[in-house]
Amino acid sequence: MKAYISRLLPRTFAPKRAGSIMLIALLLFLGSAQMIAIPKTNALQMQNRSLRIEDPTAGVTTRYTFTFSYADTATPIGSLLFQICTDPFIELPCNAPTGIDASGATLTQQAGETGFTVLARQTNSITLSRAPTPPVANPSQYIFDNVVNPTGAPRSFYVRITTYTSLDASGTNVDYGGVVNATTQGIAVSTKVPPILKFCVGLVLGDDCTTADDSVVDLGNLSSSHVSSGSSQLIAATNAQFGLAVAMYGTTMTSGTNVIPALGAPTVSAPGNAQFGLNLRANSDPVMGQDPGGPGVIIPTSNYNAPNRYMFQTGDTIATSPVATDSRKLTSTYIVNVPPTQSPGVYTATLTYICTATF
Amino acid sequence: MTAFRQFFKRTSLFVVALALVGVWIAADAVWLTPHASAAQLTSRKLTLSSSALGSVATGAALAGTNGAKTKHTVDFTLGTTGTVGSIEFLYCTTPLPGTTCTAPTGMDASTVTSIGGTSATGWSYGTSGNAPTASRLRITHTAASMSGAQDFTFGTGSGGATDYIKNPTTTGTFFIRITTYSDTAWTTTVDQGTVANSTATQIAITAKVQEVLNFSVGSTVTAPGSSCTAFTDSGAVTLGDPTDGTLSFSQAYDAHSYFRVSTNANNGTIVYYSGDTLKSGTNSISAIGTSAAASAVGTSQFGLGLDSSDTQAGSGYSFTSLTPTSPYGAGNGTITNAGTAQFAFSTASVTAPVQIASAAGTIVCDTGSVRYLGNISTTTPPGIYTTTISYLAVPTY
Repeated sequence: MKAYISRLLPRTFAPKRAGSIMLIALLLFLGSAQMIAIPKTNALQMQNRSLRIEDPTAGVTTRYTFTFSYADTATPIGSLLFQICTDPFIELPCNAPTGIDASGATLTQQAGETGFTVLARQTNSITLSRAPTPPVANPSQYIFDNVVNPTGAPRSFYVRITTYTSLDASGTNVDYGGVVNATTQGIAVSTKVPPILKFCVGLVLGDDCTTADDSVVDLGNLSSSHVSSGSSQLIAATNAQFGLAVAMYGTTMTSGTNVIPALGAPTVSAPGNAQFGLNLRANSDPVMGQDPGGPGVIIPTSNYNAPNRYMFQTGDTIATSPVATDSRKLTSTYIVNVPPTQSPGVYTATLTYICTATF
Repeated sequence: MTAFRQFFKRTSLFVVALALVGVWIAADAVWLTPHASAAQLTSRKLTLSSSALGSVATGAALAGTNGAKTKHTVDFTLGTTGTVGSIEFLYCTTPLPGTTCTAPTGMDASTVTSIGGTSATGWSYGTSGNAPTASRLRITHTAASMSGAQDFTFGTGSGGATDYIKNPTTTGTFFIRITTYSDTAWTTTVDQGTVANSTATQIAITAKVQEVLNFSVGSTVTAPGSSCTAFTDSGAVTLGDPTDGTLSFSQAYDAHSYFRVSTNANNGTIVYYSGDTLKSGTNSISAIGTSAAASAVGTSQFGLGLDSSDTQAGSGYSFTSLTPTSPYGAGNGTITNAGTAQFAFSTASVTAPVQIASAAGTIVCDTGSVRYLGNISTTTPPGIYTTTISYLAVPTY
């Protein structure tokens, strides 16, 4: 029969020859199998595995941190393969998520099972290699920088992690594990800070402008024998980069055509003389006023910054801050002196404070 | 003469051959129909605890998935009312009694030790040359008149651990030829019948459950529904006065964003935030700090906290599995000066994301409402302040 078949079939198909061919084919198959990674579906699954992405924004270059525990701690591990795919199943072909790029990844840290170096980097895979050693240090962590996230709409993507005894992630894997993470859009928080000028005037103010009230300073009956005084307060603040200036406008005290002359320069109070002036300090003659207070940096200008010296010049800048300033409370002390010859009457003056911020 | 002898010689050989054929046919006729007078067992059946191949030992002994350790139950009704002293059960690849019995490949009944079933009382296996073999079971009892339905089960004595039958290791039909005998030595046939059953390839059903993480963020609340619908808006949040989006040194403002997560990670999930404080060029609104702090109107502050009160009629904050991480769990309450709501923010989160919530196990569908606080002082430089806060979830499988 054997001879009969040999006669019927070409020589190359004789049973003996065919058997040889099959054996060679089998050997070739087995040989080639050692050069490619073969998913082993019954391999042990890594435990406590996770992927942390420092920045989940699509398309950004960021850091990937893989943490896991080797399941098989007896088999030497010589290589690790991280494949970034659209699904976690090692039995299926790996489709790279759109935009992923691990070709520039660098292994910046490793803990637990260490000694790995980057053997190969591709768009969606990283291969680490070391001298094969059983992985007994759990958990282990591998941190890669310079990985570009998938692009497009926020989506989940997977990384298949497999371990091998070989040095180049070839052959049958020992452990496997899938991890997942997702790109997301960031929450863009926006707001506006408007130009701010806080300014108020009143007789007595608290720490802010909420209690500002009244605007009339009553100096009583003027006398040539003693000074008459009163005060008002103002609070100013601004976020203007170049600060603010408080100016004062008005007239000296008048009663019809009668006038109490204003002090044109800082001058001490002199009862019996015609004087009208103010300053922004705490005074002892008369005892009236307060020094500037509060967290701000507004200071009186020099003409109005001397205790017990007063003057009045309409249009004068009485206080300034060269920079943005928090609230500062200034107290204006007004004095009036009159000579015995001062014409009787009701004397009034209206002062207007104007605060100008320069942004 | 020579021709005559040759003819005679050939004729003799022919006659001898013819005679041998005749004897073979006659013997065969006798053996093929050896018990023409035996009645047939009726209502007979063979029930297997598993049809899996004998090489399959999946599951417990006697389980439906285990063909290596099975029990066989044989039911039949006697065709003849009369004395029965012994019964033989012969496993073959063909059914006809009297024909050669080839044992099913891999079949092994030699490990049975007990007899069960409703008819088992008084019956025992044969011994010595009649003991159970790989393909034959012989049972006997004190000869007695029997009739009606019989039920025997082989291989249940130890729960299948040591008392069992191994199915054939190849797929296909196999038979048990049943013969009852009036004596106790399996000699005088009374009834016969055959039952059949078959081993079969088991249906291997596989399914994959992949690692799942559905994580989304947004600034507009949408109902999660039954599928834990993701947020899909742009994630833009305006913090400030509703009319112009400005902050004030005299009033605190808040705004909300949301994250939604579902995952089958059974070793827990951590949600982090990462981002800087509000900035406008080189100017910034101060981060409120890494400790829980209340709103301080008139002070530069930017912070965030989880707002458990922002339930949005079931679409907003809804933590079932997640737990807020201190100091980010008290964003509910008032934001007036020194109000009850507490906030925190770490600018270091830009490079080291900060945990804001975590779960120990899987998450069906949790929604987090993040409340942002904005306060400015009178000296906070004017401008448009922005930041981008990223939220990331890290599931551990």
